[in-house]
Amino acid sequence: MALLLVLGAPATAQAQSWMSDVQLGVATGLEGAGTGSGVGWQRARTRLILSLDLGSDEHAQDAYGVRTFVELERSLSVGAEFGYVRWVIPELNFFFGGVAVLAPETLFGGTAAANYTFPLGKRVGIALFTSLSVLPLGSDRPGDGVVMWWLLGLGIRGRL
Amino acid sequence: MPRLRLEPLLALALALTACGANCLRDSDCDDGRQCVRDSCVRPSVAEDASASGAAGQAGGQGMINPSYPGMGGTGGVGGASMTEQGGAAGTNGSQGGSAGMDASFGGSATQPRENLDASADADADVDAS
Repeated sequence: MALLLVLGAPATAQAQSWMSDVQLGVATGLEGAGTGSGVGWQRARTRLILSLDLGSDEHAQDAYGVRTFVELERSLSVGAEFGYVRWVIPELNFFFGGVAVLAPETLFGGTAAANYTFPLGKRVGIALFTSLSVLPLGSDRPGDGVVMWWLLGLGIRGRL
Repeated sequence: MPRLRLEPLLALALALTACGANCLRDSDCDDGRQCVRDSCVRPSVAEDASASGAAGQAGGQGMINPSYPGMGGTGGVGGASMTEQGGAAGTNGSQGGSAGMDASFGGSATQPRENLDASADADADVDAS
């Protein structure tokens, strides 16, 4: 009877907590696309990026990230990225995922990014990031060309 | 701490400003226009340009220079000529490449109207042959 009570008693579950990082940044860089007679380049539209990374403390090196962005120049457009975040060291992570411009025209593709955070305190830091995106699908391409972005950005990062 | 050299970045920014494409995405253009070969054109001109371009490549000819509104006093006339000849080029294989070249002459703002007509006649001869 005592054995049954011991076995049946609820064990103390180890609490799993979620870690979430929020980052607000601004970025610009180079935009390239196939024009039919070679690759054309121009400065990429400046964009505001709001990102949220969510991961478990049991797997502190892994997280999933969502980035929403608004392109501010020429015509205003809205897009998002979703992907996997891998922390290499506490200050540096890499992001791999999909990227899409959703409105008013569309672009779809893949992206890879690196994000380095200079700590300013226990929960806040200045983030320096770069990304490379290739977007071979969507209505906003020049003909059948592929749009490419290489971006460099600066932001502020905080842990919730 | 090493000093960050800004000269290469400034040079890159200047080069992009001076030599950057007019457009790379349709949304770089005003409403109702499309980005074709890094220039904003009306959709009808864009279709003709792509048809002429395909024929021109098949014929081994050079680039077609479609006329754009606002480039010259007779830009509209050149555009009309381009549309007709572009259509012929799109269905005419290697001869279309020749027609595409004529279309670029038709787009010139300095070409007199009489010469445009002569160009059209020449195209008719090419098509007939």
